[in-house]
Amino acid sequence: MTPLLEVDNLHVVFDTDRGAVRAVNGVSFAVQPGETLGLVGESGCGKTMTAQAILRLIPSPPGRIAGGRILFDGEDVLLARPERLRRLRGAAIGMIFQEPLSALNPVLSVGTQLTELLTAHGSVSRTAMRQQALETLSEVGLPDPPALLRAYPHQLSGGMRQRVVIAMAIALRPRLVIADEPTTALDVTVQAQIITLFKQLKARHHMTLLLISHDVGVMVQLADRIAVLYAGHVVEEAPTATLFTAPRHPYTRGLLAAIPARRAPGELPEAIPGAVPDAAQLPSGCPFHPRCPRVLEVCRGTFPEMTVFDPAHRAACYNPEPIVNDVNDVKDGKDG
Amino acid sequence: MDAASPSAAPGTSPSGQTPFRRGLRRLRRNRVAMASWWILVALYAAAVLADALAPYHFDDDRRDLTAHPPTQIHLVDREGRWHWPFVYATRPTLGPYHRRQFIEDRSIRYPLRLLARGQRYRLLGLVSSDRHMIGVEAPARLYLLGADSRGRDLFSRLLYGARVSLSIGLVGVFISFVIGLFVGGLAGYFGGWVDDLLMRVCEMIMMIPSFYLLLALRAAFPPELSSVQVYLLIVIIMAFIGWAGLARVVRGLAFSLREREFIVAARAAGRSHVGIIVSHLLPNTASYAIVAATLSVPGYILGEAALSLLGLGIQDPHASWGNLLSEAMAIAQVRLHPWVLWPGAFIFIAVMAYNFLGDGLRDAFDPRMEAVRR
Repeated sequence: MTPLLEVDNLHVVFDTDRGAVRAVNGVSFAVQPGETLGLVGESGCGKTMTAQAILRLIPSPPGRIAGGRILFDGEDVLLARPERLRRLRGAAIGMIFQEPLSALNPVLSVGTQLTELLTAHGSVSRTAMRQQALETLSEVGLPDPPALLRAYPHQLSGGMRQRVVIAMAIALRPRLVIADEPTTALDVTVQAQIITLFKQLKARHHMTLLLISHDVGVMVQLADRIAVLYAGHVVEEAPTATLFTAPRHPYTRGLLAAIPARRAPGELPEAIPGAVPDAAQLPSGCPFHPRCPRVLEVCRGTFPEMTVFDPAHRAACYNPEPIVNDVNDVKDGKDG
Repeated sequence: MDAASPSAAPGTSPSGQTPFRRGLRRLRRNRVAMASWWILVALYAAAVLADALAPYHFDDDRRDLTAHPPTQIHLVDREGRWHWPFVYATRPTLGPYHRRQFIEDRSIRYPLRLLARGQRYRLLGLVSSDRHMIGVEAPARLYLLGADSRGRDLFSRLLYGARVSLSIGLVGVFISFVIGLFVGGLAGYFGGWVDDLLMRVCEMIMMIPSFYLLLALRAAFPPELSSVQVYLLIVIIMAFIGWAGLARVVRGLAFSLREREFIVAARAAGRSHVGIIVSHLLPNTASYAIVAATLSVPGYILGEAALSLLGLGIQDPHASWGNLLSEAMAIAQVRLHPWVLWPGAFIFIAVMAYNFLGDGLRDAFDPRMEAVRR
């Protein structure tokens, strides 16, 4: 099967006063049609930059895409002309942002923002447009869509706003939806509702989703496969169940050990020592080596090649974790 | 509000109203601003209805009654009987030291007529009528605020002059705001060299003292232009000077707005640059723009007044508050005929009303005042 989205050796660099900050260093992954791929990692590991690069939203200057290819349905997005790019954005690829209040224009009503999106991609009659807006709003589980069209973002609760943001992202039935931390700004009960909504949308529309989150708990519930990012590199990629039961990269293992719900009662979660390296001064070799419990001499030299453990499971490590059989982990990891 | 139905969390929307409505309510509570608003409404209404309100046409002169003082309105006649307010006809004579005086002919009373017949006009270019709100029969003359040096009624001329003086501010501000918002929006949204180029142009315009630029630009055109041409010229010149300051502020606002997520979201949704500027960026600067527009109207009124005062603006017989005031340029005139200062009073009232209204609007709508209020 040909992937719907293929990111190949993507490099994103920010030219700052302190020198070049390498935010993304050769990220590669592929998303199959109908599948949900999760990008997971700590803050500053390049998740958001990767997502924004796909739609070429990196603020430039100072940012620039320094190399690589982004193939959407076989077409290189990085070579798309402005008019073609505008067609891809919104109509073919929808994007959901982290902060629902700031992702909505405070001075325009929900209806204006939704219909404006529809007009931007082909002229539809006013009544058809209104109908489509109402349908989309009820599809994301919002009550009383006609009244909602007149409402302003500040009149809605956080959960409703995020539903509106999701409605805007899926209004044009894009073939790929990129969700950048869609639940991070919400409180826990609303998070659960939004996750349920995503599950429904996935089931109903066979939606292809690129989900970005630092929250492993969200990933477990939504992602089919997960790619773990660290300092702008994909360090491990595996189906969700495999990743949780048999992580091979020490960083993935550390990330899973830091989830409170995966620990026995009374036992504290294990933090990974140290902090994410400064993207302006990345360590040589494997960027994780200063924090790695399994570090070898070779790790300081060059970045390790991806090792393929089985066709769907790859990790970039010279000294991967041994396989442990702990099947319970998958179930316990749900609410991390 | 009903839109925030079942699952609306408490505290998301204190009053359940749009920011605009909340601002409007704050504005209504501001007495000075509301008084200014109604004064301006009255002035603009008077300008629009000048044909019907003014007793005389602006060019209706009486060469024998030059510099006539305000007509005395009587209630009691020679015999001490009370009447509906009336006036006497006057004629000029030479008084002591050969000063001209006007003597009332007390033999015939001329009652003030409401809806008096006078010169025909077409109100708003539609309704033809010869009724004037107030008037007296000839040969008596009703000079409510005195007459000018050609015996024309100053009050009537003030009403007609308000059309020029008050509209020039609105038209000028409109033009300069269209330019200023667009240039500022472009510069702020794109940044980089676009921003550099546009802002250097703004600075070049702002660098020049505006009144001298106004004079120089006016001088560049032939002096013998019709009043309509001069009017358009003044508007264009002043709008040309006025947009730069606004563009700089809007650019600053746009600069901070373009990093906001909803702008990135609009780009992610495939909106064009111009679409984003017009429908996302500029509406968010609207509260500032409305305030700034109101506060910059007085500049246009004063600019027109200054040009016309110097004889470079609206030309006689057409009236504007500026050229009416030019009679007050000689101190001897002011001492002998103090009523020639009335146009100055009108300019003062209009300018102050705009300033107070602008302050009120800023207090009510500018989001940056929010911190001060709390």
